[in-house]
Amino acid sequence: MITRIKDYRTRRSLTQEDLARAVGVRRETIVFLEQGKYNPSLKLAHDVARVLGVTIDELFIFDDDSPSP
Amino acid sequence: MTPTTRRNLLIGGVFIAIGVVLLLIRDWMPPPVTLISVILVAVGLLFVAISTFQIPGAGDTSAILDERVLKIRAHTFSKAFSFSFTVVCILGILDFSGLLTLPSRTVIKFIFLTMGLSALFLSWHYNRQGDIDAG
Repeated sequence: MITRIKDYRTRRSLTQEDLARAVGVRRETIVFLEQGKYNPSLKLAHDVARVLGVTIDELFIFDDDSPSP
Repeated sequence: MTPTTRRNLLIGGVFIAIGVVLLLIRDWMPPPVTLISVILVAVGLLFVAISTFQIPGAGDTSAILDERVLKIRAHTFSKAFSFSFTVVCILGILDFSGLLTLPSRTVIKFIFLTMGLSALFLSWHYNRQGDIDAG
């Protein structure tokens, strides 16, 4: 999974701590989200997208070729 | 500081105070009072330690129990329980087959040890990895 959270966050001059506080998670969670190491819940993905003013599709890119179930 | 943290601090303080008082008057009390006082002080310290970790600093998000932390915690406990259960099953097989004679106290120690150590290791591993499954 590739995320563009860092791009959109820096464009909006938000720190990881700011974003974490806005969506109610720890800063570490934002770090792992940006690194694509954490698969967030739909709610967290929605909250992050809302804070950054984009859609979930724009934030998360799945490079998995396997068909979805 | 949340009301829960304040309450836990108070409970911890009361436990420690009762434990210390019991320890001071142990000469005039029956023998188990020393053990009870040590347990009370230990439980009190545990309450205080947990409460202290729950007090968030200014602008600090590290005290928030977010979904990732809860997910890792739930998975860790589940895996640690499964591992401990497997160890106990193996010990049971060894005991029933006569290869090993285990007193109940040893089995209890094994359960505490395997559950505690596996939970610590898994928690460290998942926190380092970021999620319960990589990538």
